[in-house]
Amino acid sequence: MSENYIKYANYKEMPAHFKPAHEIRKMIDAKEISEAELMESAVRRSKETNGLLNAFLSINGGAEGFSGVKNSFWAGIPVALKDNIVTKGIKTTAGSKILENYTPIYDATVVQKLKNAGAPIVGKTNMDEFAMGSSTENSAFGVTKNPWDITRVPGGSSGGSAVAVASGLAYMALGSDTGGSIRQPAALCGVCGMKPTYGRVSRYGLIAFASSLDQIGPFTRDALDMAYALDVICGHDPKDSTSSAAPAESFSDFVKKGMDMNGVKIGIPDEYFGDGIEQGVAERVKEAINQFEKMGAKIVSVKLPHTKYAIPVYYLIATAEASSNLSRFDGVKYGFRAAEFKNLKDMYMKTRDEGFGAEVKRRIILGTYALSSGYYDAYYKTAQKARTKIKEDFQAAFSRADLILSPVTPATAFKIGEKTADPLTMYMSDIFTISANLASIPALSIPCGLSGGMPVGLQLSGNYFQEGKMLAAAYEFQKRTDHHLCVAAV
Amino acid sequence: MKYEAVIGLEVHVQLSTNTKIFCSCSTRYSGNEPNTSVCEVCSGQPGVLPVLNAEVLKRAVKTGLALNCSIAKRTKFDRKNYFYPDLPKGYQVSQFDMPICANGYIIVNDGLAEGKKDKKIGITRIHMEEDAGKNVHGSDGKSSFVDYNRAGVPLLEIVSEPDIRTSSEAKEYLEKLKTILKYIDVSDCNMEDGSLRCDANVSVRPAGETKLGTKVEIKNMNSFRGVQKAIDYEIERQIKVCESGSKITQETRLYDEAKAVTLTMRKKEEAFDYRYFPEPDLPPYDIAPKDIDAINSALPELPDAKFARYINEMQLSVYDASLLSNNPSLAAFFDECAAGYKNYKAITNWLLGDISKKMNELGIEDIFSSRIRPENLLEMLVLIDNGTISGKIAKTVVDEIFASGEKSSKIIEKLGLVQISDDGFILKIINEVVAENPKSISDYISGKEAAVGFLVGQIMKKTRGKANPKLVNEMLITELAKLKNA
Amino acid sequence: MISKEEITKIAGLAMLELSENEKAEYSSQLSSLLGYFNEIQDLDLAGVEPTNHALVADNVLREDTAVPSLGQNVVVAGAPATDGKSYRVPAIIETEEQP
Ligand SMILES: [Zn+2]
Repeated sequence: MSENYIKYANYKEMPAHFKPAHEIRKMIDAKEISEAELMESAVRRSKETNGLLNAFLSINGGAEGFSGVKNSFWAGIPVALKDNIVTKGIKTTAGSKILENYTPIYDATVVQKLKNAGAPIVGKTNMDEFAMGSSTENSAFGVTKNPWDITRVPGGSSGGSAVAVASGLAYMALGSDTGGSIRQPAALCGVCGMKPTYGRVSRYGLIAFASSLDQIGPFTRDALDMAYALDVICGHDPKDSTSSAAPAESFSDFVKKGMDMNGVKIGIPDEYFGDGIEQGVAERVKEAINQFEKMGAKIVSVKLPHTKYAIPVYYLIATAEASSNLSRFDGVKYGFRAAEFKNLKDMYMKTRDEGFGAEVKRRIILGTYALSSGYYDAYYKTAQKARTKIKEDFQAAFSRADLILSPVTPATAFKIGEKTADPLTMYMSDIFTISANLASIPALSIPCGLSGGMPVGLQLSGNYFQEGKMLAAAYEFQKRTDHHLCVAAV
Repeated sequence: MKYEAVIGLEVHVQLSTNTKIFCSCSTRYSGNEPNTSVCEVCSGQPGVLPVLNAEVLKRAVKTGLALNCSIAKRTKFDRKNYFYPDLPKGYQVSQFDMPICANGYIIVNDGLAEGKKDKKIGITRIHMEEDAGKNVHGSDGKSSFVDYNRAGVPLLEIVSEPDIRTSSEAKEYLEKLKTILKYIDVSDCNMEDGSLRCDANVSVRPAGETKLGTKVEIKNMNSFRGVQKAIDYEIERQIKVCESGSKITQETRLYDEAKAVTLTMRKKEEAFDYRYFPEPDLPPYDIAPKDIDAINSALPELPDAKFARYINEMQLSVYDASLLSNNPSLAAFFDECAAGYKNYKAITNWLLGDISKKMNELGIEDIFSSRIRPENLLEMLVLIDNGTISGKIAKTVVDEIFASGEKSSKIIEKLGLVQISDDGFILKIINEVVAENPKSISDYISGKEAAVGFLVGQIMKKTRGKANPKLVNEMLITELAKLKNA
Repeated sequence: MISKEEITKIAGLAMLELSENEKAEYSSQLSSLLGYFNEIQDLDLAGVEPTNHALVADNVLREDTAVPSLGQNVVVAGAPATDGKSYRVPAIIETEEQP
């Protein structure tokens, strides 16, 4: 059996479709490659591989996107969007049958920003239905395969976006992260993924799963591309009351300047290195810690004592918000309506029963229960209070450390179908990622090697609005290592 | 046994802002096609987010201050979850446990009729929320049609304490509330077009009992009169049930206006459980004391204060003061006139007399939407005072102002209405009339004083009402006296 | 333990018509999930403020200035059933208790 991956010595050796966007930008500017060639290639490769990988739910015809935008990093560089980000005139399903035929009447703010930047959209990527899942197996339109091993899941819920970047189908892809839905598939597919600070990126036009946890973020080849991606999508949006007015520096300029890692304090949470972590994952993460130490960083131990409550807190809050957010899918205004019904209530019940998949229904029931009369205080309100404790844990930890380093997942990509039987097992795989959403802090995942031939991710978290510092540290790491040069052999 | 009713009212008023509460769609869609004043936000498209209209927050605070409420230092929105076709998102953004205003009151019965005492009706809370769309029933009976033009129009829900005891008190509460809201210009408050809606909670208990009876909610009342009649019916119905030894069922009843009865709504199997929780898409709002002060100091004089001023400073009758102060536009008109003319009684008489009558005839509610302006009335009053026109002629002038909006002096000139105070001319007419009516003269001479009135009438007729009536009277008496003594 | 009856009631609130199999499955899955989630009841949360909102700035407001709406043909076009102007739904019975 031939290797399932290729390790390049540097970006020069890589074929164009695997190169980072900052290399492609130079090639476009040097007229070594044209915008049309790039888009043609991205669309062609996406179509060719979609039968195997099912990364896309819809692929652009290929002729659009040459805006003539000048002086923009992303002009002409093909990008992909998770299918829960609405695109005016382009079908947007959120991976659900209930939105099978939904064509949005407006653009999400991030889409508007990408259009303004001249980035052509290759297509809309597959995902767990309404972003509920950790494997992309919950899509109503078939599972997405991990390009490193097609018998394994790509992670989720933004599996399609992770695969699009991992397989060289797009140079950047947007996903959404409610409990790890960007970072976990990034880790399992060997690419970079980031959940920015809550409010850093407008949620306007992101089909809501859990409003207080959702955040849009990018997948890229490396940390510098990530900085460029964040540059274009971040910023205050008057249409999103929860979007931050915090000034956004140029992340790419900051990262390019380089960062002296001497004395940078990297916190290691004891609670994240207990039992249940796959040996290869633990080893790769320890090696990464050593690498940072070698670069001059000071490794300190931090405590996140409420970690064990994160999963219950997360699932109670996320499902409660989701139960309300998904009420608008009722067969009245758009999307699917059941074919036969006796009356109004019957129309609602049948439409939602037939339109939603099993996991979505399970979460709606759980969330409805957590909010219902008699249980609200015990579940929802208690979870909101416990969320405060988790936030406080992180504030205490960031008083001791500049960044927190941890694994992204306890194990590498699991087999398709392996965890579908028991929801709790599936939920447990989010243990290292959900706290960042509960605490509203930014966190990113970068490749840090392989375990059993499958990629392992390293998570760096920072305090609110510390994306610049996190990205610079990640890029310093990537300058000295070659894990990000290792790609799936597609 | 004597029974007492306990009534609380829940009033929804639409705020007359330019735009909806959470999006920038216009609220001026009246008369437009369905679903024309809608966008992705108010039609509940996937992915949309709300942003609060600053004017809604401001008007809510203004309303709270005008209704003597305390204003929350910090307020937030919550989601009220239920499915209904007129609700685009499957939840209504409302306020649950941190309403914008609480603990206010309205005073009713303030002098509307002599002998009645003022009564404080408590206001439990006021909160902001979004209106739902409208369901229109199809003619085939199989379908309904949903229009989201109204979806997202800002509403205030004003909840009273159960302090109301009679249907007429309920009506007075509503009228007073409407007056205040019109004074502060936050809402059109029109029950017929739905910008003010009212539900009533009604229970009865034996007089003297302090415990509350089982309450029944009444919906679907479309006028203040409807509210009054529905409550009357419901009180009577509940007393009958109690007297028959049965128990009142806690329920929602619909008022049937045509039959003037309340009817049980068919109940759903499961109780409503709205699953309120804090709206994560909208941050909380802190209301700074300085902002409250600014709104407070910009509040106009409210009806209670106006009423007191009219009585104490302007010596108007209780009846006149009450009529004026309960009509914001008439009161504003009065105040403008009173600023330039000190005979307040005269202004009041014209406003509440001929002018109100004329407005009724023309179906005009707001005096400022007619052609008359304070300066027209003021000029006319001065012309009466200086004898240029008579009070009688002035009625013609009022008619003409309503018709043309012209200045009183111009109307008088145009129609030749200047009063005749020329002694010689009047004497000439008197002599003519005396000559033409020998019977009346002899009647007068024989002691029938009533003949004077007839003769004055004849003189006025000959001068087409323009002769100065005071002068005519004086001169006629002199002439008649001469004849009598001759 | 969440009974099938409770699941039925909750499904009614959520407007989900579940099959008997689904009810049984969700009843057992939710029971075990909530059994695990009950861990949070052990926390001492006296005096702790709930995090009702994620990291947000207070007092986000918008000017009361109208912008043109999208219009009937745009908004209603995507609906499963319309008369071209309004959304069509099965008849709403007015005398039924409304939420
Ligand atoms: Zn709108």
